[in-house]
Amino acid sequence: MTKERLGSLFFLLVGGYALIRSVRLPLGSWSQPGPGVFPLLLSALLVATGTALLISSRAGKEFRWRESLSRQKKNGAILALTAGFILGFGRLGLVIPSGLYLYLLFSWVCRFRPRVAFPLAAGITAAGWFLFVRILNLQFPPGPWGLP
Amino acid sequence: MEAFLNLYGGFQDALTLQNLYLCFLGCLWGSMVGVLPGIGPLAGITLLIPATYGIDVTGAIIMLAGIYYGAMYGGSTTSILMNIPGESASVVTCLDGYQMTQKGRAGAALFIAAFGSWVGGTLSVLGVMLLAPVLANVATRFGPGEIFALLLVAFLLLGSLGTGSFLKTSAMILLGMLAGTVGMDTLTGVYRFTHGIRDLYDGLGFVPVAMGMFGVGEILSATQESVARRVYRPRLRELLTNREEFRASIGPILRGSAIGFFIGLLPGAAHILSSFVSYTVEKRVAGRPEEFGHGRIEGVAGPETANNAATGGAMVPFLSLGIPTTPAIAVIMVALLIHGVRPGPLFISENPKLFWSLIASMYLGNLILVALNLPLIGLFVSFLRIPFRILFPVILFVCLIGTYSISYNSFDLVILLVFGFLGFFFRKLEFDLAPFVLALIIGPLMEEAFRQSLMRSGGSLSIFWQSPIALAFLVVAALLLGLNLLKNLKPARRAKRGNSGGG
Repeated sequence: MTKERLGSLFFLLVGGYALIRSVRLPLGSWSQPGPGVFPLLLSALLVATGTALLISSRAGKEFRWRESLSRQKKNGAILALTAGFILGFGRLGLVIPSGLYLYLLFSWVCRFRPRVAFPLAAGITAAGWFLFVRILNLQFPPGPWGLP
Repeated sequence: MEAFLNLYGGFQDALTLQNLYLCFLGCLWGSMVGVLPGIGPLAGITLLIPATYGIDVTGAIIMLAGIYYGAMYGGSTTSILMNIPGESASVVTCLDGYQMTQKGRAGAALFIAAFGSWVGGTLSVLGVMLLAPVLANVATRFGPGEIFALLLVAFLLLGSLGTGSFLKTSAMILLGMLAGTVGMDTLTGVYRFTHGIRDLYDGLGFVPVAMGMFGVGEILSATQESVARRVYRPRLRELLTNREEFRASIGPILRGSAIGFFIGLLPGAAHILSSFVSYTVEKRVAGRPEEFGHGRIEGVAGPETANNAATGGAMVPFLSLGIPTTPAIAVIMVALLIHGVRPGPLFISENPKLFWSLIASMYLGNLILVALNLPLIGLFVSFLRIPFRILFPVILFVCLIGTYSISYNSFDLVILLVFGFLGFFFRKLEFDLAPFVLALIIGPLMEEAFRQSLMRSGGSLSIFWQSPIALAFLVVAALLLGLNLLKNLKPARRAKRGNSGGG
């Protein structure tokens, strides 16, 4: 499976989905084009382009699945931790989720020892609070115990 | 003559203490952003958008524009000192810049990069000043038919000039345009592709998508690369060229200014393209071209000048037509919209003070940058010594907060995460991301123009060729499409002939 082929499959999937959803939207008339016209056109073109790419991509760089998957643990951890931050941020505000997020990034992902990860996370969280809350005056969801 | 009188007025506004300070701040932050791999001008601009809420729009655009062209100055530092491009446009500078460092001529390379950037940046601002008002004046006569045809040309140019094949770039453009249809249709109020999610009613949001793809996506890609961090630290007194090097750089600097400005007018990877074209030209023009790649100063002077001149060129379609040609400029456009100013053909006539203040600040900013970049080399080198595994969590954190601060909506962070993953996915598959984000912002303009054209003409497609301007654009579009399809067919035909010959 080449990289272009994998990409073209993605485009065909998205284009096909958009095509099906677009025909359900009002298409209007030539003199009053409806909201479904442009998405229909774009999705049809995307399907056509995806098909052309699929056909023309026989020769191309091979996508090495196994090699890719084994190197993705770090990225998987980053994405999972970021998702956790986003969930916590809305409920717990800025300080606690940020501190936890940064500590886990530094310790789990970057492999720093706790005695290094903790001060780094605490320092960056404090600097972030000072910059975003005190200087830039940004508003964040309220956290517990009166913390931002 | 009128332009210079207006420029004088612009300087009077730009030289106020607040605006000078904001210009300095933008240039400094832009240089730092350009120096640090993993964070580009797009993220750099987005992070400072919240800081513009309490200041007037003139100060805001002066600062944000400073970040944009400042990043081009900063990008050469890591290319020369570490053989790592701080900015994608500085890739070419690595070829000869790092070689000069290894020969003990890092200071000369840094000096000529800064000097060339100043000349290129300043000459390109002159081009903006002269060309943008003329183009805007012509564009005020454009109706929706002409705008649609112009945007079609812009997209086909983007497809032709993208770093990948025409098919791959076109697919990314179509995907971006489709993503731009998510949300409420402005003409009828119908919701499209929202699946009942209220947070999608206003669309995907350009900033979370762009920050996700370019910020988070870049970090996910960079965590896999092991980067050797040997950084050469030149002393201040070493930061000069000798007479011979300076003389050899004059031609490349002047050529690079012209190349960069005109390529900058085109949408897409103008900065990267201009530096590559400049390098190729210098190699052809120079005696002993085999020395390129081994520390020729022309290999630094030309490309660095070109990529800075491209910033001015890129400002022309943005200020005169309202068409952003790079993702970073698209973010500046979003910032202007937040401040209630819409770039387009009427921008200069409705906001002359703002336009001329911006032009004046760009002259000042280029001066500030050449004065900043050389003495602050030591500081930038210190930043470069920070290990990436300390930097990237900070960058991620700042990306998250910066994105949230645009509309104070946690759902934007979900979009950031999803598009961060998509950005990484497309990078792994070697698909260009810039066409996607540009199409996201330009696509809705094209749809509006298309539908308004048909409403005006009562459904007749002749509106697109009745106007000579629209017809001219359509002819250009047809030529571009034809050329690109032929280009894509040729390798397939060659492969077929080869197979039948061998069989």
